[in-house]
Amino acid sequence: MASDKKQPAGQKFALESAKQQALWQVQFRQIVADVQKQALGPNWTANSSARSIGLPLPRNDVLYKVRGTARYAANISMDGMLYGRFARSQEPHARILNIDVSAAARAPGVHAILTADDILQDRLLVGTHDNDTPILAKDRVRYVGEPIVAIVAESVEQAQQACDLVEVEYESLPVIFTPEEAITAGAYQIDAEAEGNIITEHRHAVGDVDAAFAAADIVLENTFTTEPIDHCFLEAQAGLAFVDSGGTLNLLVSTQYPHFHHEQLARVTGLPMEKIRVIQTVVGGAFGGKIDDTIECASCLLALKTSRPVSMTLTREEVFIATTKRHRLKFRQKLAATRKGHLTALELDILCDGGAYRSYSRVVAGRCVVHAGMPYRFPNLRVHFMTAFTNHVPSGSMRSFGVVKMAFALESHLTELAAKIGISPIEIRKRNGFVDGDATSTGQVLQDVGLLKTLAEIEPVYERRKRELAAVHGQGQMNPGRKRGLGVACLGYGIGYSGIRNPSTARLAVSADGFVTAFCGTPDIGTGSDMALTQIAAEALDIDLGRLRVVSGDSTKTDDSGPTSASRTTYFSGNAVCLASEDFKRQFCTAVAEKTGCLPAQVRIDNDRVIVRNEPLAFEQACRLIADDVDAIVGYGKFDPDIEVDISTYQGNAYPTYTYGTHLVEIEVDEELGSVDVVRYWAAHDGGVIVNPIGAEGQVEGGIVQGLGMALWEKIVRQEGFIVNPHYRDYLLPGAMDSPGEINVWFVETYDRTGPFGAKGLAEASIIPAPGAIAGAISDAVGVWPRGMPMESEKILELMGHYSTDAATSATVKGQPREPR
Amino acid sequence: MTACLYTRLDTVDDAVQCLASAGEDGHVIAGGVALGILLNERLVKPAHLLDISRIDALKRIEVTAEGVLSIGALATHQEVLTSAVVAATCPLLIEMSSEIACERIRNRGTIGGSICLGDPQGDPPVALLALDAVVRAAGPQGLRDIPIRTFFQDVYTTALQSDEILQEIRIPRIPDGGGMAYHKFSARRAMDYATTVSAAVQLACDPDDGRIINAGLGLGGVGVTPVWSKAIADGLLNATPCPEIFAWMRKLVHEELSPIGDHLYSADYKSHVAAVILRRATERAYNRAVAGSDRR
Repeated sequence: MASDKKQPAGQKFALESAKQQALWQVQFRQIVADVQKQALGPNWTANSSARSIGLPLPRNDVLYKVRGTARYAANISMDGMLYGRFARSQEPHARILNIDVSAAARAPGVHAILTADDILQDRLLVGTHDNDTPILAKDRVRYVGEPIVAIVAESVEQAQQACDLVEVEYESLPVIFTPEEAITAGAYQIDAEAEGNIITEHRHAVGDVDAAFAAADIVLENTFTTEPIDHCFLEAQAGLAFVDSGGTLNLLVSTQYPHFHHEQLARVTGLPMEKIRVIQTVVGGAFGGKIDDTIECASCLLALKTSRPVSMTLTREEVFIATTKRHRLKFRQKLAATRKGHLTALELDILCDGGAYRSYSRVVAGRCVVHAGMPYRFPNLRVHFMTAFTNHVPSGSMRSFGVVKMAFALESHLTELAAKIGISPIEIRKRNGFVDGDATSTGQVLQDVGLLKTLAEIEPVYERRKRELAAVHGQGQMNPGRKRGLGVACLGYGIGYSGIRNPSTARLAVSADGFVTAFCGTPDIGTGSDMALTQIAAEALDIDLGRLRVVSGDSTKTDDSGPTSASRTTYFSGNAVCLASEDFKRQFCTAVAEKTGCLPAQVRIDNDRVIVRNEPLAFEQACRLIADDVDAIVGYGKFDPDIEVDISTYQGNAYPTYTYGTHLVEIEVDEELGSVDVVRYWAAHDGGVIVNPIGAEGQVEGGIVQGLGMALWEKIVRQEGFIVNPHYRDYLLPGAMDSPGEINVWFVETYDRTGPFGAKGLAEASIIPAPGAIAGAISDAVGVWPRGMPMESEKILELMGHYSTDAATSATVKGQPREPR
Repeated sequence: MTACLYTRLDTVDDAVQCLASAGEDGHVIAGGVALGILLNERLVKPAHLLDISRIDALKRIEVTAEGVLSIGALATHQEVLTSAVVAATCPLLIEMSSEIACERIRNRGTIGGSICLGDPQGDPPVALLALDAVVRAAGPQGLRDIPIRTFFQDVYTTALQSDEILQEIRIPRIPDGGGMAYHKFSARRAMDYATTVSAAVQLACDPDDGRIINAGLGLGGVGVTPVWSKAIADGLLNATPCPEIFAWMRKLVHEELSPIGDHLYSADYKSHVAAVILRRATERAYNRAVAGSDRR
């Protein structure tokens, strides 16, 4: 941790110089030209500005990432920088009787110690949706790992050593580790505001569910369970806080939502908004795990207290024990259908472990409720969703906000139903899947639905592999004791926040030398969204891609446009960029018209040129022409679709648009061990028009592998409130070799009438069908239905009834047993 | 800040001497794969680290005049994996080494370190148990040979004395007509440590009737130490692999082994897995034995 070591200049860091940016722009233009040349083949000519939408362009962060010059928050150092660490709760639920920091204060290198007592009571609590989470625990701790004391010292090691010397005197309180216990009458109330320990409870009903069940030909009913999982981003939460010479508090931080921290810091520090600046550094993965406060407020308070830069980075163990997890839930699902395979009713009763604070529990619940039954027609539907406090680390948001777990159950039942009535798993979905004009359970009438198109892509592959596998199994070509199976699952997913307005904004500015900067409210969190927005802006302005630079993730340069989450950036910010482009073009053409003495209507931007009357000017020529007024041109766009769901009736438009898809997986089960190999994978997605195919493909592949991890291996295991596997050694995250040998991705490209150039959104979608597809494939291979995730080998073997029996004495020495895994 | 004395040693004699003078405070470090984790997690705070990683004499891999395969304690897993000498004499070690983590870790980790750690889930101990290897330790009193089958004593506890350094591993000449196999079960394909159960089998069979005349086996991940079971190995003698033999082996596995259930798998499941992969390893070793010396 040598703080005197010179750091490389680094990139994607808003404090870098314009000179560095210019260099990258030159390289980028070359890459763009090469890609366009490839994409357009013989049609390409040096100055032909191709359409930008749909080009498979390398993201503009790849160069600095592969070269190792990306500056992650933990890599940034400043003169005089101190390091902060937390002392954390070792009790799942206890009153704090005393905090003794005297030994820590005497430890070498310590500069400052912060406890809850140093923070004004009305500034202590933070949170995205509810300010309920103390920056540092006061009087009481609610989970193991909750921060109690923050200490800064000359080195990380010294800060940690001092934290180890903090003596906390506890008085144990009753502990609650399951939501069932939490909602029991008389249970200890974990949160003063939450009666009955209920964080959130939703009821939503459509039609006459009881009558539908009474009349149904087929009813399936099971209880499904899922375990908490971690986001497993490679870069832990990290940030650097400092006060600059102008007295502004700066926070460089790995986050999905700089404006959230900005607003919270204003309240927590008491500084005026304009004396705060939050800059997002390069994000090494987030997946919903970087929209809560972890190190942000504490590091800023310490920086203010010491007047020194303070760097804080969580350890991997801290990420596991003290930052949000995907909710653990248990739910009963009951589904009714006719003999002909038409779905008639769905009933869901869901109970979630919300952990010790609210975080995104309400958001997860709301989204799950409006996604119940998606993407199928259920004339009758009833959902009860409840999340309760426990003494576990808070549950929060993670890719798809819980919808992946609902899909696991629903897709399992769909496939089971198909088998029961003797039709293919594709056919059952075709009969019930959403089409244009169908209404969701909130009464929203859908348009531009590509679900059946994705099924149509997958169907021939399914039929072919089905025949081939039947032949392979029939002819005894499989190794003894191994069975292959195919699984199908679909998804439908709303883009943006659920049932509430969530506008996004963009600003476009231009320089005299012809570079356009797009200031976008939602930051790039490693998804490539800056690239997508660059393409959308270039398309909308009809200028060369290389002229564009997207600035995002700086709370002082962009409007608060919500976080990058909920698959919303391409659609919401993309639309905002389109609106800003129109405004920009109007101002720009007017300025050029004034200089050239013609009417604004006689000026237009076309193919990277500015046409004045009939005279084409190079874009930069036109910019030079209006150099004096160029700063005054700011195109502004705000995209704010009319989204509202009435919370009492659950009726209304929940999302401006929906993304759809179908997945097919082929697995191989070792019948003796119950273990599952994922052999091949096919995914067809309707993400609207795809802005950047290679970026989209990468996101789909990533979601699939993340989904497989959740389906087969990943789980946080807790004992008495302590997480027993807080390392990658014991938490089984899939590696490259566990990924399918083959992932095929198709985009069916529905043109969404409301999207930017027809685009919808895609980011979270691909995780959603993966576990349901795997479950179906397991059933296809060995005839059992796992109802809990992860679907571990031991559980599968138990279901198969092969446990502790020698199932495969058939594997004789004459056979050629397969090489081991 | 906890200070730590660090000494780099160049010869075995120096190392033994230094270890004696360091006493209880001394902690030997070679590749640092296991110790590195413990240091990072601050589970071990040694006062004196003795770095033996530069002792070239401990890196040799050779076959002695008597036909013993001698592997220096500091040979890395990657060196074992790519050694022509090992390939020619003991392919089991190649198969085993290829299952260890990834190349980066194999480049750091040493076979000696793996044995000294005595991890019940380590790969090398399991193979060496099947091979009936002998561990040679250097101490103040000189050299001491310890049969590996008595080496692993308890949880992370070996027969190595606190003043001894592991010098080499000696694998007796493997008779012609033998076959060997290493089989590892893990939830994931690569770099899995948490979930492993492994089995190594070395056997020789009668060239005339195919009966097994000599068998050695090792099992990992099924107890507090890597496990060698004479009872199970003896069960194979004078038999050819058949369902009855395997059913009987399975029964013995359940009786003889005491795996520890953990947050991932129950003890019963581990026993089950051990029986299955032991059978698979036995089948493969036997197939190799009857297939001839080219695929021993």
